[in-house]
Amino acid sequence: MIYEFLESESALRQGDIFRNIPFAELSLSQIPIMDGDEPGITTWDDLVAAGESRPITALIAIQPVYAMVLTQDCDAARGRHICLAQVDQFLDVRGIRNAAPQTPKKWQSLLTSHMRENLRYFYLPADSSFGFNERMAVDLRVIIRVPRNDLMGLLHHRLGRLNQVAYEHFRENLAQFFRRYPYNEWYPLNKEEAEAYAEASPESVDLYSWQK
Amino acid sequence: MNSKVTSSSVQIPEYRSVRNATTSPALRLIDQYYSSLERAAAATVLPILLALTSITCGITYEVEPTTSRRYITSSLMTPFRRRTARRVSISEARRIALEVLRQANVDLQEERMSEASFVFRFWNERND
Repeated sequence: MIYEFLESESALRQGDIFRNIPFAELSLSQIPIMDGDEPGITTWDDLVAAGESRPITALIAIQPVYAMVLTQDCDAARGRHICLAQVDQFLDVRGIRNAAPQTPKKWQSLLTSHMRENLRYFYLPADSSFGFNERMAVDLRVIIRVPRNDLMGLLHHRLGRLNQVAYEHFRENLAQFFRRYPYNEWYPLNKEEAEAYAEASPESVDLYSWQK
Repeated sequence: MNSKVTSSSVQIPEYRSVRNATTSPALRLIDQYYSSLERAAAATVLPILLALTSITCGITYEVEPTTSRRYITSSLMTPFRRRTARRVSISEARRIALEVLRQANVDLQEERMSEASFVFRFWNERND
């Protein structure tokens, strides 16, 4: 498929795919900390309220996940940290676990329209020889940062990388995703279209003066 | 000699005995010189003492369940809070850390499903 296998000593590059990358989540409203030798629960607001800048020790759960390197090659060669995006099962990333397409026709329609219309995810086809038994996707909104030197020590967890064609699509997808800025897609709709849009939207829609 | 002591809050005992015995003009000059020193000392020390007293007596404590707030009544000072944490057992701290991660995964999945029902609704409608 669209993957390449690598020698273990191959340089780290954008598009490299790893398994067992640590994913951690920190809540700012509920932080388990070690206050001296005693465990305690506090909030980030309380921790910084005194204006202290000293580090604290916190307890954080960590989960191993699949992830793809986002950091571009030059930074990956010498940067202190490497950024990766989580790779998850496509049906979960796409939010259609219970409504998966049942025919090749529907699958191709979903996948190609997804590539055109949604930059958040980058589709990775299943390839059991590579280690993906299911369709997967890179979720560009779930970012993980790890120390580069430590990641170099985990190269045996690297599955491989995207081939040249897939990589060129990925870097375009990545660049477009992070260069976006927000806009209201309903601004050019006429009054009737805007009302229909607002009715279908799960979020509140502030119509423009020319739509009222 | 006029033994009347000049009005000052700050006394200099070591000099007092000398001043009481002052009889000559030279010694009177010395006396005047040291009296002015006393006034200067009083003018410097008294405001400092008063400021220290007001600050020391002005601190109030207002205790909340998780945070101690300490206010200083001087308008020159701003309120600040002291860092505290609710004590828990290590197993409770571990449970909360795991719960934070579990909830993050749940929230992420809900966000994806919500997006699927709105952002992708046109594709879904086309393929129903």
